[in-house]
Amino acid sequence: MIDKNKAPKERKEYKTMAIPEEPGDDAEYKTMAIPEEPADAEKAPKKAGKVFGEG
Amino acid sequence: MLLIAGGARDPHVRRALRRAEARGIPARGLLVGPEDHPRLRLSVPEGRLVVDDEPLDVGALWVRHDVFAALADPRAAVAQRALDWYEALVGYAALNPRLRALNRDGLGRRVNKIAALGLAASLGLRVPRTLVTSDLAALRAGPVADAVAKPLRGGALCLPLAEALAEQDPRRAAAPSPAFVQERLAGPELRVTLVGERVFSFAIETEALDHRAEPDAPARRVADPPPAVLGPLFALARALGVELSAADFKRDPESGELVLLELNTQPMFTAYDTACGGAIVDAILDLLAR
Repeated sequence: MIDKNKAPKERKEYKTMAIPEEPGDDAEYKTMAIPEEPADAEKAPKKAGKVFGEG
Repeated sequence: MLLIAGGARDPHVRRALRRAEARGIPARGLLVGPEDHPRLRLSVPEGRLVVDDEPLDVGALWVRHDVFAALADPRAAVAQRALDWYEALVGYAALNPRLRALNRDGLGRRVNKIAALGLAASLGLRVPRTLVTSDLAALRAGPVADAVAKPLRGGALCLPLAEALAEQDPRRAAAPSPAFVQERLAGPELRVTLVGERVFSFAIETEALDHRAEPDAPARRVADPPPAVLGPLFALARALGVELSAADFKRDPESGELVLLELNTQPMFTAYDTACGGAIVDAILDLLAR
């Protein structure tokens, strides 16, 4: 579950790394910052509405 | 290069990016969240994509509509923003028909659960005996013990019918919204994730009627359903235009026959991926990288 009151975890910056696009190609490859996955984000979050609606 | 786009809070896209990095698959994230607003330029009709001034040469795309941001922040603008980014990426895929896009034929399509149950039945899958109704008076007058109720589009858990009726004002004859009323089926719930031609099946060990009520319920990898079920299930996924999907089954309490509850076209799967050592994410990356 996502805790609405909890601040997002600190981001982990991944270093730019070189991954060859083709054999012999040293093209640079960049990732964006990829935050750590919260351990409690495993399942679809609970939902709290009424089955037959409200209003 | 593989472009994985979605919400910055979506663990599925983050997990896939980390796995791609570990496997040496050239991949880039396009993550949007409260602190992440990439600068995007998409030329129409050329379909050229530039993100943060970097022209992207994308060979394969996986885009997920972000639902996690709106769960953390219920403002309408947050949900609208997620939909706008999804719309942009779906348009990008449409402008580039030769781009490998996961679930391409299902991108931007909303699955009507009533229609999907009808389609599943026509393909030979057993679906629950189902009534879509807002007629509270008729429901109260009938037997409720062996029935469950759940919303048509999500937003609430599946409940025993008696509990769903108890949520409503007893003076009301008609509910604000129609909902599904279905026969009560037997657990454990079986989650069958389809990735291309690959199948990953799990039993969800819980006594809860709706497994989402118990988020920590363990998932155990089990044998896949028989071909008589898998064949129509793949046909259903193809008809909905998806290569990645997850079906939920329970069993007929008398015959033991598998009964399809629904097919999710943008499934949550990190717990199941963990339960099989990352094989689901690997299968997705294999599908995109091939």
